[in-house]
Amino acid sequence: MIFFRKTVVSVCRLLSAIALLTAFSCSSDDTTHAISVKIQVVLPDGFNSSASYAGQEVKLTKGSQVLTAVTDESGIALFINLVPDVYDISTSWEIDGDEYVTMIEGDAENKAVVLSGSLLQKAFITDGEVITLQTEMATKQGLLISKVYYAGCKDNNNKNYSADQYIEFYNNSDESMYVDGLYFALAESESTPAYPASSNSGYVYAKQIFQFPGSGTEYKLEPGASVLVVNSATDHTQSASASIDLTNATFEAKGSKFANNPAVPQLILKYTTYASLPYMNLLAGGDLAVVLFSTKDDVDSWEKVYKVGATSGNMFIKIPSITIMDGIECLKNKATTGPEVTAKRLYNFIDAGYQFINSVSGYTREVVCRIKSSVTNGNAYLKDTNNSTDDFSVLTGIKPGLY
Amino acid sequence: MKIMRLFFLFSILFFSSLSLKASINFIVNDSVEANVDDIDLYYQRHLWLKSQNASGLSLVQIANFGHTAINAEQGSGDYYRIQEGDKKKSLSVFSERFQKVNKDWYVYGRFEFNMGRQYNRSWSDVIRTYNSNPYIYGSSVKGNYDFQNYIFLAKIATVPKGKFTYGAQVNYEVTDLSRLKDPRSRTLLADYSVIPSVSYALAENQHVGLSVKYRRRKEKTPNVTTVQTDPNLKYYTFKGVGNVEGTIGAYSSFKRQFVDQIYGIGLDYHLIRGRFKSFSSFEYDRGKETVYGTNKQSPGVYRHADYSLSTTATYVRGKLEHRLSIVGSYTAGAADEYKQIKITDIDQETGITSISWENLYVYKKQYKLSDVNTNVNYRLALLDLSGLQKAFVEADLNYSDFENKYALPFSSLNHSGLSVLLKAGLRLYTHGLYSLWVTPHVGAYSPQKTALVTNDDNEYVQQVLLPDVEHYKDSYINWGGEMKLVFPTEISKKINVGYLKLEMDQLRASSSLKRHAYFLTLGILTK
Repeated sequence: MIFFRKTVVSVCRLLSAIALLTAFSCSSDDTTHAISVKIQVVLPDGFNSSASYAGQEVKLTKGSQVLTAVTDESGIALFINLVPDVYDISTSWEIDGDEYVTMIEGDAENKAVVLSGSLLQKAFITDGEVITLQTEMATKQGLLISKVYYAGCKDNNNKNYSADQYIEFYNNSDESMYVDGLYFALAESESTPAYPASSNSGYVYAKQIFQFPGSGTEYKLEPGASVLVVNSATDHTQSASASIDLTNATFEAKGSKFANNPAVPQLILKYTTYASLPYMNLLAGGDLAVVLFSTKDDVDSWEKVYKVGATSGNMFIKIPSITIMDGIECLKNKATTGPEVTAKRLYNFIDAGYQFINSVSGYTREVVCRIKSSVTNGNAYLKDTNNSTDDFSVLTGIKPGLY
Repeated sequence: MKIMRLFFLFSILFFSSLSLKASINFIVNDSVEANVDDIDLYYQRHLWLKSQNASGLSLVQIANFGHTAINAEQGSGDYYRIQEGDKKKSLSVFSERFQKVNKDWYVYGRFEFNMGRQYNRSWSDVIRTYNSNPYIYGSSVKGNYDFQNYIFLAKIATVPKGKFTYGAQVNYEVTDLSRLKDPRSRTLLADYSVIPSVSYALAENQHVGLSVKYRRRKEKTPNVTTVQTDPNLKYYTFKGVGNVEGTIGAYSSFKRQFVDQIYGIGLDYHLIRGRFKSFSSFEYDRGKETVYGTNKQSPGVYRHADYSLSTTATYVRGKLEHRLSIVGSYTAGAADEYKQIKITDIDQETGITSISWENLYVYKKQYKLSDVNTNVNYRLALLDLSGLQKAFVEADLNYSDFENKYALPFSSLNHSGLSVLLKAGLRLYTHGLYSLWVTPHVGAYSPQKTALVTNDDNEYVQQVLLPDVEHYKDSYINWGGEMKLVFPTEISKKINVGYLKLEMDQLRASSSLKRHAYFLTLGILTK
């Protein structure tokens, strides 16, 4: 008993000293809490006062997480229990012609329109914050960029295989068209963006420009049909069983690196910053921004510039933004931090969003593919709100021509 | 097998020096007597030795001694947590020496080397997986990990200068943990502490001690390499509980380091009253651990406060020696999570690019940790006429309780359990300098509460957390024992004592899962 009593006394003496020391080490609970946020969607100018953006979906996107809320009669979408973070906000509304004419002040053409709005990388920190989201009337394009396959795959020896990369363009209208003479370009893809979207909205700075051949009436594209441009119009399944057969491609960027198909017309190379690369320089993991444009100007006469502060190295050609018909931004995914939105090259009026494949390095058969919006009379109509975050998804192994 | 071959090689060297010589006892001038038959009991009696307060080295007068041992260990079975693997083999060598250098100084030094392999481990490429910094990382692919660990410890103390005694302790540890399967990580650790201390004599045989500590722990994975060609191989980073992000190919150019700066204080109280001795110790450490990746990108910062309280008391009456030890520790940790944005500045004149990461938002205490461990140990030893123990019984009771919480969105994992271990030791045989000990033991573990709340159903939850919850819910019984042969040996014409110890532990859980562990130790004690 004496033994245990003396032990307890020793412990008590020490405990009193401990209590004094640790009294200051307690801290109050300042853990971060969830917040509520309201998104006020605003209609574009020209809509009458009785028009309302009610009952429409507003999306908050953070990486692969997508949260949705429906707007009320006042056009407000309420998000509750939100983790404070940075989100991309987007909304779109396809209005049919009959409803459209009732919403516009004065006379209006009875035609289907798409309203869309987006804000990228908006920080939601304060509880009860109200964010205004302005919508614009999106111009529906006939010819769209519909697929970008830059990831590549693994060949039969498990080596990296990128010969099967391609870009697909789709006639999203009800009328046939000729693609002769149209251009598409790949924006600069320096590891540190040479000309990010924040720099100069008047131009897109491109590393390569290609042109569809033809005199003007040679290459007709029916509604719902595609133009497939490739680096190598061969059956790649021979070398890589996971790959695809591209022998039916529309145009081919000829070059010595990949096997070419003499039966497939040549894509015209108008400009490349890399003298040794006559084919499409699609980086397997990204970054990659593609723009489709039309111009009567002599492209060869457009200004070419080095990156800011440089007097040598790669030169990029300046494409006036006013010529651009469509564009898509594909960012490189980064481990732990996700895609860097500050690396966007395309301005919001070209592509208000961005896409990215899951792999940081590629070779996973991932395809950035436009989403099917509807099917009418057997023709698929693809989603076009000028926001690739909403208009595209990433699928593995989907083949050209399929949506 | 390689480890066992090394062990037997060392064993042959030891056995080659065997000879029959006179018995050995350490002569103790003061209140501590050491019996070379049981070096563990010696450590328990020199109550200052395990404290971080080095100044107490000179307060207990003991003879110089050295202790060197080599230990081989193997554990395997299907009762394990996913991130720790199902099998482990290791070989360790350590050597320590206590020495009075001259009339003014006492020193103690210890060197330890461990090497081994963990098998089929996954989801963790770091050295500390559980109940610490949440920003760990790893691959879901099972693989083997090799580890090497060096520990150096040095203490120095003055003789009493009036009522004061001064001392200092330095610890240094380096570890290398290498994964042997793609994606291959290599994690390196450098951990050092400097602990000056002082003790003061309140009265005869009553001392208080004060120590202050600075510790810096740096763990880093400079890169992750791979030779495989699977394009869909993911690498995962963690934020706490079930919050995990996996990205294909994320191992390429991945790097991360943890730097923990810890400041601490220790208080000790030593009392001798006749046949009663007690030693109580309190230690408080406070640390801040920064985490950095490429270009100094940071997922967050982890802060922790560690409390440790222990008291040991011994009482000798006649041929019986009582020893009671109570140890409690508590860790409170919290991590702030960062939402960062990359800032890229391009100098307009030179084109030079500068990259930095800035905090857009800080999630305060997004992750919280609470970890409690308490242990009560009582031992009753029977002494022979020489004051050496010849038998003992021991009871050990342990309670542990941990909780990991993630605030937004909420998820948590908590578990508590109680274990008891009964042990009895008996010196079966004595002949001259030889003796044989047997020490059987039996124990049991009873889980008290286990709960998992998750906000996601990802691969980590499915492959790690849910199986681990089943592991925590399992009760078990374990049994085994130890046999120790003590024998004399001669080195450089000096008589020393060696020992050979074989231990075994078998575990069987209520779910019929099992685990076996075997230990083989060869040691020598020198004057």
